[in-house]
Amino acid sequence: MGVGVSSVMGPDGEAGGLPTGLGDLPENCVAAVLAYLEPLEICRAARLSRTFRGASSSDSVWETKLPRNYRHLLALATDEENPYKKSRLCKKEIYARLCRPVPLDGGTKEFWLERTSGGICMSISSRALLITGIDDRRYWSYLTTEESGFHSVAYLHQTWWFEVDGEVDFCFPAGSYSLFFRLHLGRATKRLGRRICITEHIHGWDIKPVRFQLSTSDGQLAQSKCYLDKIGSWILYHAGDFVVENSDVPTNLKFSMKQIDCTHTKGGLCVDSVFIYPKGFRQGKIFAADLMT
Amino acid sequence: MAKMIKLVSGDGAEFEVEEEVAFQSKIIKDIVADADDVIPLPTVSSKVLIQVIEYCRKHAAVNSFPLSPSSSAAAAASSSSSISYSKPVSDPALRAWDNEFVKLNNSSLFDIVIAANYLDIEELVDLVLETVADRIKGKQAQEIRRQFNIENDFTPEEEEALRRENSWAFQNN
Repeated sequence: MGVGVSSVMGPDGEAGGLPTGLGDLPENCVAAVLAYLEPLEICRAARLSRTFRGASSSDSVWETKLPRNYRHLLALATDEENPYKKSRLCKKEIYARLCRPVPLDGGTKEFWLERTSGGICMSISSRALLITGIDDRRYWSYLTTEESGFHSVAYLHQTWWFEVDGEVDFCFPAGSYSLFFRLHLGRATKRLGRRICITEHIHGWDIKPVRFQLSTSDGQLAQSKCYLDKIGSWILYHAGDFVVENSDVPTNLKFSMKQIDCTHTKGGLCVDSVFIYPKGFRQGKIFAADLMT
Repeated sequence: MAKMIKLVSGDGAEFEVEEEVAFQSKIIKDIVADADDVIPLPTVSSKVLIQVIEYCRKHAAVNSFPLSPSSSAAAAASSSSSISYSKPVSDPALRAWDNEFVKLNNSSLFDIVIAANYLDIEELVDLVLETVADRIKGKQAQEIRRQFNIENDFTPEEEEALRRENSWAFQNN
């Protein structure tokens, strides 16, 4: 029911007096207006006045922004904070919490809510990937670097059989997603405070393309191939897309990157991590792979 | 012969409208069910009531004579569902009419939404609130305050606390 009736009717029974202002609207109407805005704008609007601050914290606003399975996702965020406190978070606080990365599988994977779109993103470190020959120091080594979210990347000196496999089992909220491999041709290091790229091991990538594959437990399959040729920067190579229909059912995702033509060796490549983003949300340079027919 | 309902505005003006037009308001629909054909609306001025009736007349007509199967399906679905939000208007001609209808100053819009909220005309409430949201989107706080006459009633301490509380939204991952 409206509260601001005095400004609708003047004392003589005619529409007059002060013009009706936003402050005359009941708080649930202000909250309903805010629900049409994006999270960032809602937080900005909180600064307008006390009414806006109250409305911007209302559960009805943030319920529409949270992913459908937010309770399940919040349960995965096992914080140092006690679980009792977690159960008393309002919807806005839940949204804020999920915007901070939640570690999985001993910290080798992370997921987070992308704060503008409300979509779930995930990163999977090289430590969580199955890399053929990773234990052989002739072929692979781990480098510590600040250029990786996990502070460590796998560096390939050279190999005949290049294969990187991964798997993730997760309740992605319903929607479409894209999977990327974050790769860097050459090894970055600092000399005299400047970043330089050591290219001496780079070879073999121009002979045959790398093949990406992505499959889900419900039978989706994406395959593509692409030549790696951008030297000296981190590139997100688009491996494929997948669709999740049901937020409450775990999606099992298997993905791989291969170059296993053993007539030539290849090397000089850094493998950082695999990223999963909501489809259409892009970060960094993206190199489109040719789709196989 | 269409059944007529009489609506009386707060300033004493009387409006006779067809039942299906008046029934766009859930409140009126419930009151009439108790056999009352004259409905006083003391909190709604005649100026606002005229506009609300205009909206209801347009939307009642569309619901009775759908232009396309999809718009009638949407109307049927929204009238029978119990969900708390109304489905978006699917008919492009009606949407265009709605967009013209809301080309009013802020004060008039607020009068309409207060009346529509009181009368429980869900689609009209949503239409106005979405229009207000569009007028807020992308604007700086100063401009929003000026346009909507919002007074900054925070103390400096409250403002600082709010900045800290919402800092998560402005950080870069």
